Amino acid sequence: MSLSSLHYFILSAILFAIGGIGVLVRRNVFVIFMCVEMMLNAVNLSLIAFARYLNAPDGQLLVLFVMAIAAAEVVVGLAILVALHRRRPLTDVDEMNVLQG
Amino acid sequence: MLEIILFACFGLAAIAGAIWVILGKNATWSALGLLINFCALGALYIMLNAPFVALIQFIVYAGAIVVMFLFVIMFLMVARGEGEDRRLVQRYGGIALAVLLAVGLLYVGLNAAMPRAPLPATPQDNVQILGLTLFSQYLLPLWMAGVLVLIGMIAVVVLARRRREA
Repeated sequence: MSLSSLHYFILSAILFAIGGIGVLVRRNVFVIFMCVEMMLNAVNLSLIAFARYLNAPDGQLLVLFVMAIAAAEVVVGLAILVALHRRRPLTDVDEMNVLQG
Repeated sequence: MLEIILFACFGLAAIAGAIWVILGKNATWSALGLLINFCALGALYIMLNAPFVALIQFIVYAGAIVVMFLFVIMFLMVARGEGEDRRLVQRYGGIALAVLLAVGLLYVGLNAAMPRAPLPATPQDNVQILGLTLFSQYLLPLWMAGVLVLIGMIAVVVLARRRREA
């Protein structure tokens, strides 16, 4: 039995689902953010696998763009969290229920 | 055969890191699990003939994003554990939804026409091919990505200012 792209796709689906569980179950805002990054990486793995098995560089280029966007998103998200933390030191998303301030 | 063993090792390491992220006691443990996940995925990218993307993964994801997470977590000192858990309905409902998503993805994957064997690989000029395609076909997305990163930097500088009290 040799590796096919199906194996990589199944691994990508499992990692995506584990990230989804983390986003829905955990309450710490940093862990939720990390699980979103994990979901993005699962999709990256799928893109690279199909780029290999179809012999096209487009998948790898899409992964580069996804990485750039994910890096910018993490930077802005963490800046928002630091700015929020100045008001009230919270880490629980259930407590962040006031839109103002 | 070696490929299957390596895929199994790195795949299990990635899944173990992912489970460590969602089951970590506090945010710092989860960040370490995320690091393991990213490094295992980088190794898988090398196996899939994408050395440049693997390098960028190690440098940007494992070397900058995880480090930034750890900096902010330790700067804000929020690494204590969470309070009480979510209610059972929320917790098991969330797990059920994610499992349903995985089942749907697997159903699509098993019934779709996935390439079973890799096409013959090109010679080892991955970076040249990426560069040629990036600067000819994907030039506009490349420029837009640059503008997006610039906007991110400006946004961080604006957000990090201290509000001047009136």
